[in-house]
Amino acid sequence: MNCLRVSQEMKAYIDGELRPWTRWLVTCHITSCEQCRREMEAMNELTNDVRNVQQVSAPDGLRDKVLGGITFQPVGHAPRGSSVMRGLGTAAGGMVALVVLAAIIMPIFSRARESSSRARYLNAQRMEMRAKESKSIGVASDYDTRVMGKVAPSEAAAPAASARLLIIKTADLSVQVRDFQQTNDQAVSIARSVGGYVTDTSAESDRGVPTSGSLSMRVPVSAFERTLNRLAKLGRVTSRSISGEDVTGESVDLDSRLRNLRAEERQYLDIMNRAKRIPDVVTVTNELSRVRGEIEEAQGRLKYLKSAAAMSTINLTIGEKAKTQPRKSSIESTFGNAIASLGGTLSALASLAIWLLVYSPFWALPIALWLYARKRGISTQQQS
Amino acid sequence: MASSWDERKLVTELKAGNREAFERLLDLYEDKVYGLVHGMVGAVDADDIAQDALIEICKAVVSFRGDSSLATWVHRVAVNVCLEHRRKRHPLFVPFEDELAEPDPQAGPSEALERGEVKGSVDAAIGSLSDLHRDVVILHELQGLTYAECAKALGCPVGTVKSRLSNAFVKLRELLQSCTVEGEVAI
Repeated sequence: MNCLRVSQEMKAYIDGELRPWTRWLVTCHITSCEQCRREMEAMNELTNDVRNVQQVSAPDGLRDKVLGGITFQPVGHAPRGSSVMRGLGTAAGGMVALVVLAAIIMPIFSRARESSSRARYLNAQRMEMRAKESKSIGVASDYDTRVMGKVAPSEAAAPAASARLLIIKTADLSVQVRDFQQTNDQAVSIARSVGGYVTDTSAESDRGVPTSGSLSMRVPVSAFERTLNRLAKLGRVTSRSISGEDVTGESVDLDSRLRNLRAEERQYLDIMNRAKRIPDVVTVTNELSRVRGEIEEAQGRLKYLKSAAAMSTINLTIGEKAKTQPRKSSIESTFGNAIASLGGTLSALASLAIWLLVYSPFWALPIALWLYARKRGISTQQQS
Repeated sequence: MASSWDERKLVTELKAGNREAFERLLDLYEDKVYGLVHGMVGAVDADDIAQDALIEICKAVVSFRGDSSLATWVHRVAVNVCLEHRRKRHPLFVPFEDELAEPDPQAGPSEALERGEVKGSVDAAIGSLSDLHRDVVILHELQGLTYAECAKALGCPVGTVKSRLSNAFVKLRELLQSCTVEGEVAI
């Protein structure tokens, strides 16, 4: 193993991520090469410095924000079962919600029509109490609010039927090529030719000339396989993997959530039209802005899922084959190379001798026994 | 009580929507995810993106199949949220605006090599790496993932992680050396 190869394997050696054989080769090299040993020590020190960098801690309040952004199952609610059970649960929840909603909202509307200011005051109080209740109950009320928003159970169960399979495809491809720059340009033009685009590029250069790099591209899902095959022809493929993430379930969930949120929005708009007092208007406005925020969030996520499934990602890593260095013709360099080679060979032989010596109990004893047995056999034959 | 929960039980409880399980999940991964996001998208957006990532983790945990460890999966989701944020912001945007920490011309060479400053400059040097290099340094060195786990989290082959890390360290050393040389010149 030469110094260049050792320098490439050095980090993995320190991290204990090398295979035993490669590890042994690197060990052999650094025992004989002073420069590489020093490099290794420097790398080790740098690794320790990097690991000692002070990690940042999460700010206060992040936890509460996260927990506030999640909908928990109410206490005693069974975990998610089959889709049929979920459907039935949603339908039943929707029915109950409808009845409760009617029982609460209808009196408010009917009394709101009355001209009596006393009745209006009482209704406002009830609304405020409900708002406070929903804040204090927290976990369970969040669930209730979602269920309340559902208008018809049939509407909630509908999206399952219209679900379209959404799979986000990602491929990783590594190729080894002669000329990095040329291949990089070809890959970009392939992406463009199939209607895709390049999102990320990076290149690493050696002495100012780019020799390796990677680029991520997004291509239409219909052209995914075709593009991958064309890219694979650019050089020798060293690794290739394709993964797919099925997001159909999430998209169906989002669809139904969106439908419910819109129904909730319509109801609040209706209440808004009937509200006459400023506190009522303020309360409903707050609820409306919350619902619209959730609608936008769900729409954004849905849009992302659909676009992610429509366009597949290909991560291409391009590495240039190591170019052979032109040989120096001078006698000095040849002599120097020969000496270095002799030194390397001698050190390898010395290492081998040490290993053989250490492992001698395993091989010397059987050989000694075999020789002894052979000698005894010959002497017995001579006697006979 | 919560400390005795093993991973499998935790996942079952998470899927059941148990609030205590989510609190336990946050106990385990809140700081790690924040550290990862802080490194990947920078200090300015860290709070918002870490919040998004943690909410995404909590929401998506129902789809966790147990193909990898929970830690690897959590990192993968957080990495994806960060990458998505980068793509939305600008494809080729470099998130760290900090320049390499300039050594104080007032301080002598021995003071400049004080542990604290070395840490500070290492931190700044990591910030100056390219996205690809910095991601793998954060995941492996700061988050303690193995090469295979980094590969899963980043969605690339193990060989790529190995070469990126090796190149990242070469760059880091160059950056730190140039920093030291500039410091000496300034002195």
